[in-house]
Amino acid sequence: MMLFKLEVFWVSLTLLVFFGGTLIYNRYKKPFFNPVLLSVVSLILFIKLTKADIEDFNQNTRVINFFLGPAVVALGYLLHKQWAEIAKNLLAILLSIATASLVGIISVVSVAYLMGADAILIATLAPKSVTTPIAIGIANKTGGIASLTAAIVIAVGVFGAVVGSWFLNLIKVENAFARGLAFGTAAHGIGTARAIDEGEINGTAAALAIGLTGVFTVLQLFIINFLFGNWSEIQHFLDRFFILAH
Amino acid sequence: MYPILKSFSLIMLFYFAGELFTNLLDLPIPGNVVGMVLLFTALQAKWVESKSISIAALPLVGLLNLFFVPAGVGLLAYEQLLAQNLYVIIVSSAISSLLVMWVVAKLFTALKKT
Repeated sequence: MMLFKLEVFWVSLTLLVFFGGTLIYNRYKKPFFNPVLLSVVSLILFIKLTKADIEDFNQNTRVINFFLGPAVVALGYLLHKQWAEIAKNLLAILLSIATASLVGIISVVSVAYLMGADAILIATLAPKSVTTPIAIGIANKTGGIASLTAAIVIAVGVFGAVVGSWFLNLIKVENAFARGLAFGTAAHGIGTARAIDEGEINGTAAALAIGLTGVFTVLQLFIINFLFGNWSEIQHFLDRFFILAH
Repeated sequence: MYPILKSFSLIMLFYFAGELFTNLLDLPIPGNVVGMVLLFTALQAKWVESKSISIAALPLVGLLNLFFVPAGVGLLAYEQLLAQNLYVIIVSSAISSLLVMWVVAKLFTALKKT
Protein backbone atom coordinates (compact mmCIF):
# COMPACT_ATOMS: atom_id res chain seq x y z
CA MET A 1 0.00 0.00 0.00
CA MET A 2 1.16 3.53 -0.84
CA LEU A 3 0.63 4.72 2.74
CA PHE A 4 3.27 2.28 3.98
CA LYS A 5 5.96 4.05 1.95
CA LEU A 6 5.32 7.37 3.73
CA GLU A 7 7.61 8.44 6.53
CA VAL A 8 4.95 10.71 8.01
CA PHE A 9 2.55 7.75 8.27
CA TRP A 10 4.86 5.52 10.33
CA VAL A 11 6.23 8.34 12.47
CA SER A 12 2.74 9.65 13.35
CA LEU A 13 1.45 6.14 13.97
CA THR A 14 4.39 5.37 16.28
CA LEU A 15 3.90 8.65 18.17
CA LEU A 16 0.14 8.11 18.53
CA VAL A 17 0.56 4.52 19.68
CA PHE A 18 3.24 5.57 22.17
CA PHE A 19 1.05 8.42 23.41
CA GLY A 20 -1.82 5.97 23.92
CA GLY A 21 0.54 3.55 25.67
CA THR A 22 1.72 6.32 28.00
CA LEU A 23 -1.89 7.27 28.84
CA ILE A 24 -2.72 3.65 29.69
CA TYR A 25 0.46 3.34 31.75
CA ASN A 26 -0.25 6.54 33.70
CA ARG A 27 -3.86 5.48 34.29
CA TYR A 28 -3.02 2.04 35.75
CA LYS A 29 0.62 2.45 36.86
CA LYS A 30 1.28 -1.26 36.38
CA PRO A 31 4.78 -2.20 35.13
CA PHE A 32 3.18 -4.69 32.75
CA PHE A 33 1.63 -1.71 30.94
CA ASN A 34 5.12 -0.40 30.20
CA PRO A 35 4.69 2.11 27.33
CA VAL A 36 7.55 0.56 25.31
CA LEU A 37 6.03 -2.92 25.62
CA LEU A 38 2.49 -1.71 24.78
CA SER A 39 3.72 0.28 21.77
CA VAL A 40 5.97 -2.48 20.44
CA VAL A 41 3.25 -5.14 20.76
CA SER A 42 0.58 -2.91 19.17
CA LEU A 43 2.80 -1.90 16.27
CA ILE A 44 3.91 -5.49 15.63
CA LEU A 45 0.26 -6.57 15.62
CA PHE A 46 -0.58 -3.72 13.23
CA ILE A 47 2.24 -4.72 10.85
CA LYS A 48 1.20 -8.38 11.00
CA LEU A 49 -2.51 -7.69 10.43
CA THR A 50 -1.99 -5.24 7.56
CA LYS A 51 0.76 -7.44 6.09
CA ALA A 52 3.00 -4.38 5.93
CA ASP A 53 6.70 -4.91 5.28
CA ILE A 54 8.85 -4.58 8.41
CA GLU A 55 11.52 -2.97 6.22
CA ASP A 56 9.09 -0.12 5.40
CA PHE A 57 8.63 0.44 9.11
CA ASN A 58 12.38 0.32 9.83
CA GLN A 59 13.26 2.67 6.96
CA ASN A 60 10.59 5.22 7.86
CA THR A 61 11.05 5.44 11.63
CA ARG A 62 14.77 6.18 11.49
CA VAL A 63 14.11 9.76 12.57
CA ILE A 64 12.73 8.51 15.92
CA ASN A 65 15.60 6.07 16.30
CA PHE A 66 18.08 8.88 15.64
CA PHE A 67 17.01 10.77 18.76
CA LEU A 68 18.27 7.88 20.87
CA GLY A 69 21.75 9.40 20.29
CA PRO A 70 21.18 12.87 21.79
CA ALA A 71 18.90 11.39 24.48
CA VAL A 72 21.69 9.12 25.76
CA VAL A 73 24.14 12.05 25.62
CA ALA A 74 21.63 14.10 27.65
CA LEU A 75 21.89 11.49 30.43
CA GLY A 76 25.29 13.10 31.13
CA TYR A 77 23.32 16.02 32.57
CA LEU A 78 21.72 13.70 35.16
CA LEU A 79 25.16 12.36 36.10
CA HIS A 80 26.35 15.93 36.64
CA LYS A 81 23.31 16.90 38.69
CA GLN A 82 23.60 13.87 40.97
CA TRP A 83 27.39 13.78 41.13
CA ALA A 84 27.49 14.22 44.93
CA GLU A 85 25.37 11.08 45.31
CA ILE A 86 27.64 9.15 42.90
CA ALA A 87 30.97 10.32 44.35
CA LYS A 88 29.93 9.31 47.87
CA ASN A 89 29.67 5.66 46.83
CA LEU A 90 31.91 5.41 43.80
CA LEU A 91 33.82 2.34 44.98
CA ALA A 92 30.62 0.51 45.95
CA ILE A 93 29.16 1.33 42.51
CA LEU A 94 32.22 0.06 40.61
CA LEU A 95 32.49 -3.14 42.70
CA SER A 96 28.83 -4.04 42.49
CA ILE A 97 28.56 -3.40 38.73
CA ALA A 98 31.80 -5.30 37.98
CA THR A 99 30.58 -8.29 40.01
CA ALA A 100 27.08 -8.23 38.54
CA SER A 101 28.28 -8.01 34.94
CA LEU A 102 30.55 -11.04 35.49
CA VAL A 103 27.63 -12.90 37.10
CA GLY A 104 25.55 -11.91 34.06
CA ILE A 105 28.05 -13.41 31.61
CA ILE A 106 28.64 -16.62 33.59
CA SER A 107 24.95 -17.23 34.28
CA VAL A 108 23.68 -16.71 30.74
CA VAL A 109 26.51 -18.83 29.31
CA SER A 110 26.03 -21.65 31.85
CA VAL A 111 22.25 -21.87 31.47
CA ALA A 112 22.52 -21.78 27.68
CA TYR A 113 25.24 -24.46 27.76
CA LEU A 114 23.19 -26.71 30.04
CA MET A 115 20.22 -26.30 27.67
CA GLY A 116 22.39 -27.57 24.83
CA ALA A 117 23.30 -24.30 23.04
CA ASP A 118 26.22 -24.47 20.60
CA ALA A 119 29.27 -22.18 20.68
CA ILE A 120 27.74 -19.72 18.21
CA LEU A 121 24.58 -19.26 20.28
CA ILE A 122 26.66 -18.92 23.47
CA ALA A 123 28.79 -16.19 21.87
CA THR A 124 25.58 -14.52 20.67
CA LEU A 125 24.03 -14.53 24.16
CA ALA A 126 27.09 -13.61 26.27
CA PRO A 127 26.85 -9.78 25.84
CA LYS A 128 23.04 -9.67 26.30
CA SER A 129 23.01 -7.13 29.17
CA VAL A 130 24.92 -4.30 27.51
CA THR A 131 23.77 -1.50 25.24
CA THR A 132 23.24 -2.55 21.59
CA PRO A 133 26.33 -1.07 19.85
CA ILE A 134 28.70 -2.57 22.45
CA ALA A 135 26.90 -5.93 22.33
CA ILE A 136 27.18 -6.02 18.52
CA GLY A 137 30.89 -5.19 18.71
CA ILE A 138 31.46 -8.01 21.22
CA ALA A 139 29.41 -10.57 19.27
CA ASN A 140 31.34 -9.78 16.10
CA LYS A 141 34.68 -10.32 17.80
CA THR A 142 33.73 -13.52 19.69
CA GLY A 143 32.01 -15.45 16.90
CA GLY A 144 28.35 -14.72 17.66
CA ILE A 145 25.57 -13.66 15.27
CA ALA A 146 25.55 -9.87 15.69
CA SER A 147 22.02 -9.25 14.36
CA LEU A 148 20.60 -11.90 16.70
CA THR A 149 22.54 -10.36 19.59
CA ALA A 150 20.95 -6.99 18.77
CA ALA A 151 17.47 -8.52 18.84
CA ILE A 152 18.16 -10.33 22.14
CA VAL A 153 19.52 -7.14 23.72
CA ILE A 154 16.30 -5.27 22.91
CA ALA A 155 14.18 -8.15 24.26
CA VAL A 156 16.29 -8.29 27.44
CA GLY A 157 15.81 -4.52 27.88
CA VAL A 158 12.04 -4.76 27.56
CA PHE A 159 11.99 -7.75 29.93
CA GLY A 160 14.07 -5.88 32.55
CA ALA A 161 11.91 -2.77 32.26
CA VAL A 162 8.67 -4.74 32.60
CA VAL A 163 9.54 -7.11 35.46
CA GLY A 164 12.23 -4.96 37.15
CA SER A 165 10.07 -2.93 39.54
CA TRP A 166 8.09 -5.99 40.57
CA PHE A 167 11.24 -8.09 41.08
CA LEU A 168 13.06 -5.38 43.08
CA ASN A 169 9.99 -5.04 45.33
CA LEU A 170 9.93 -8.81 45.74
CA ILE A 171 13.57 -8.96 46.87
CA LYS A 172 12.95 -5.87 49.02
CA VAL A 173 15.35 -3.37 47.45
CA GLU A 174 14.18 0.05 48.62
CA ASN A 175 17.24 2.25 48.04
CA ALA A 176 16.62 4.38 44.92
CA PHE A 177 20.23 4.26 43.78
CA ALA A 178 20.41 0.45 44.13
CA ARG A 179 17.17 0.08 42.12
CA GLY A 180 18.55 2.30 39.36
CA LEU A 181 21.81 0.34 39.20
CA ALA A 182 19.80 -2.88 38.79
CA PHE A 183 17.84 -1.42 35.85
CA GLY A 184 20.92 -0.04 34.09
CA THR A 185 23.14 -3.09 34.65
CA ALA A 186 20.57 -5.71 33.63
CA ALA A 187 18.55 -3.79 31.03
CA HIS A 188 20.72 -0.93 29.61
CA GLY A 189 18.82 2.01 28.05
CA ILE A 190 15.31 0.55 28.09
CA GLY A 191 15.74 -0.29 31.77
CA THR A 192 17.08 3.24 32.30
CA ALA A 193 13.93 4.75 30.79
CA ARG A 194 11.91 2.73 33.33
CA ALA A 195 14.26 3.82 36.15
CA ILE A 196 13.71 7.47 35.17
CA ASP A 197 9.97 6.83 35.62
CA GLU A 198 10.71 5.61 39.15
CA GLY A 199 12.65 8.76 40.04
CA GLU A 200 15.59 11.01 39.23
CA ILE A 201 18.15 9.23 41.46
CA ASN A 202 17.04 5.86 40.03
CA GLY A 203 17.49 7.23 36.51
CA THR A 204 20.93 8.66 37.26
CA ALA A 205 22.17 5.38 38.73
CA ALA A 206 20.86 3.49 35.68
CA ALA A 207 22.50 5.92 33.24
CA LEU A 208 25.81 5.46 35.02
CA ALA A 209 25.40 1.69 34.95
CA ILE A 210 24.87 1.54 31.15
CA GLY A 211 28.38 2.81 30.44
CA LEU A 212 30.11 0.93 33.26
CA THR A 213 28.41 -2.39 32.46
CA GLY A 214 29.48 -1.99 28.85
CA VAL A 215 33.10 -1.37 29.75
CA PHE A 216 33.27 -4.16 32.37
CA THR A 217 31.60 -6.69 30.06
CA VAL A 218 34.05 -5.93 27.23
CA LEU A 219 37.00 -6.36 29.59
CA GLN A 220 35.63 -9.50 31.27
CA LEU A 221 34.74 -11.27 28.02
CA PHE A 222 38.16 -10.40 26.63
CA ILE A 223 39.84 -11.86 29.75
CA ILE A 224 37.63 -14.99 29.69
CA ASN A 225 38.49 -15.64 26.03
CA PHE A 226 42.17 -14.89 26.65
CA LEU A 227 42.39 -17.31 29.61
CA PHE A 228 40.12 -20.11 28.43
CA GLY A 229 40.12 -19.82 24.63
CA ASN A 230 37.15 -19.02 22.41
CA TRP A 231 33.61 -20.26 23.07
CA SER A 232 33.95 -23.47 21.05
CA GLU A 233 37.13 -24.40 22.94
CA ILE A 234 35.36 -23.71 26.25
CA GLN A 235 32.40 -25.79 25.09
CA HIS A 236 34.65 -28.75 24.18
CA PHE A 237 36.38 -28.50 27.53
CA LEU A 238 33.05 -28.52 29.40
CA ASP A 239 31.78 -31.42 27.28
CA ARG A 240 34.82 -33.49 28.22
CA PHE A 241 34.53 -32.43 31.86
CA PHE A 242 30.92 -33.59 32.06
CA ILE A 243 31.72 -36.90 30.34
CA LEU A 244 34.53 -37.55 32.84
CA ALA A 245 32.30 -36.61 35.75
CA HIS A 246 29.73 -39.21 34.78
CA MET B 1 13.52 30.09 21.04
CA TYR B 2 17.22 30.90 21.39
CA PRO B 3 17.90 28.95 24.64
CA ILE B 4 16.33 25.75 23.26
CA LEU B 5 18.33 26.03 20.04
CA LYS B 6 21.53 26.60 21.96
CA SER B 7 20.83 23.72 24.34
CA PHE B 8 19.99 21.21 21.62
CA SER B 9 22.94 22.32 19.47
CA LEU B 10 25.34 21.81 22.37
CA ILE B 11 23.99 18.31 23.04
CA MET B 12 24.31 17.43 19.35
CA LEU B 13 27.86 18.77 19.40
CA PHE B 14 28.78 16.44 22.27
CA TYR B 15 27.08 13.56 20.45
CA PHE B 16 29.12 14.35 17.34
CA ALA B 17 32.34 14.57 19.38
CA GLY B 18 31.56 11.16 20.91
CA GLU B 19 30.95 9.58 17.50
CA LEU B 20 34.12 11.15 16.14
CA PHE B 21 36.10 9.77 19.09
CA THR B 22 34.91 6.16 18.76
CA ASN B 23 35.17 6.19 14.97
CA LEU B 24 38.69 7.61 14.86
CA LEU B 25 39.97 5.22 17.53
CA ASP B 26 37.84 2.33 16.22
CA LEU B 27 36.51 1.53 19.70
CA PRO B 28 33.66 -0.93 20.36
CA ILE B 29 31.98 1.68 22.61
CA PRO B 30 29.01 3.61 21.19
CA GLY B 31 29.50 7.29 20.36
CA ASN B 32 26.44 8.33 22.36
CA VAL B 33 27.85 6.79 25.56
CA VAL B 34 31.16 8.60 24.97
CA GLY B 35 29.14 11.78 24.29
CA MET B 36 27.40 11.29 27.66
CA VAL B 37 30.78 11.10 29.42
CA LEU B 38 32.07 14.16 27.50
CA LEU B 39 28.97 16.20 28.37
CA PHE B 40 29.28 15.15 32.01
CA THR B 41 32.98 16.15 32.06
CA ALA B 42 32.27 19.53 30.45
CA LEU B 43 29.51 20.23 33.00
CA GLN B 44 31.70 19.19 35.94
CA ALA B 45 34.58 21.38 34.68
CA LYS B 46 32.06 24.23 34.17
CA TRP B 47 33.06 24.59 30.51
CA VAL B 48 29.33 24.74 29.80
CA GLU B 49 26.61 26.07 32.03
CA SER B 50 24.30 23.45 33.51
CA LYS B 51 21.29 25.72 32.81
CA SER B 52 22.07 25.95 29.11
CA ILE B 53 21.99 22.14 28.82
CA SER B 54 18.93 21.30 30.93
CA ILE B 55 16.35 22.98 28.64
CA ALA B 56 16.81 20.36 25.92
CA ALA B 57 18.31 17.59 28.07
CA LEU B 58 15.25 17.08 30.29
CA PRO B 59 12.68 16.61 27.47
CA LEU B 60 15.10 14.28 25.63
CA VAL B 61 15.65 12.14 28.72
CA GLY B 62 11.90 12.15 29.42
CA LEU B 63 11.20 10.72 25.96
CA LEU B 64 13.90 8.03 26.14
CA ASN B 65 11.21 5.31 26.11
CA LEU B 66 9.77 6.57 22.81
CA PHE B 67 13.14 6.47 21.07
CA PHE B 68 13.44 2.72 21.77
CA VAL B 69 10.12 1.82 20.15
CA PRO B 70 11.46 1.46 16.55
CA ALA B 71 14.23 -0.90 17.74
CA GLY B 72 11.65 -2.98 19.64
CA VAL B 73 9.35 -3.31 16.64
CA GLY B 74 12.44 -4.13 14.57
CA LEU B 75 12.59 -7.44 16.48
CA LEU B 76 10.00 -8.61 13.96
CA ALA B 77 12.71 -8.76 11.29
CA TYR B 78 14.54 -11.40 13.39
CA GLU B 79 11.40 -13.44 14.06
CA GLN B 80 12.79 -16.63 12.50
CA LEU B 81 16.28 -16.33 13.99
CA LEU B 82 14.74 -15.84 17.43
CA ALA B 83 12.19 -18.63 16.97
CA GLN B 84 14.87 -21.23 16.16
CA ASN B 85 16.37 -21.02 19.64
CA LEU B 86 13.45 -19.48 21.50
CA TYR B 87 13.54 -21.52 24.73
CA VAL B 88 17.29 -21.28 25.27
CA ILE B 89 17.22 -17.53 24.64
CA ILE B 90 14.22 -16.81 26.88
CA VAL B 91 15.24 -19.06 29.80
CA SER B 92 18.94 -18.15 29.90
CA SER B 93 18.34 -14.39 29.41
CA ALA B 94 15.53 -14.19 31.96
CA ILE B 95 17.39 -16.11 34.68
CA SER B 96 20.58 -14.16 34.04
CA SER B 97 18.81 -10.75 34.00
CA LEU B 98 17.12 -11.36 37.35
CA LEU B 99 20.38 -12.64 38.82
CA VAL B 100 22.21 -9.49 37.64
CA MET B 101 19.54 -7.26 39.23
CA TRP B 102 19.70 -9.20 42.47
CA VAL B 103 23.53 -9.14 42.69
CA VAL B 104 24.02 -5.46 41.83
CA ALA B 105 21.19 -4.19 44.04
CA LYS B 106 22.08 -6.31 47.09
CA LEU B 107 25.84 -5.79 46.77
CA PHE B 108 25.46 -2.03 46.43
CA THR B 109 23.10 -1.88 49.40
CA ALA B 110 25.64 -3.81 51.50
CA LEU B 111 28.65 -1.71 50.42
CA LYS B 112 27.18 1.80 50.31
CA LYS B 113 27.85 4.40 52.98
CA THR B 114 24.76 5.53 54.81
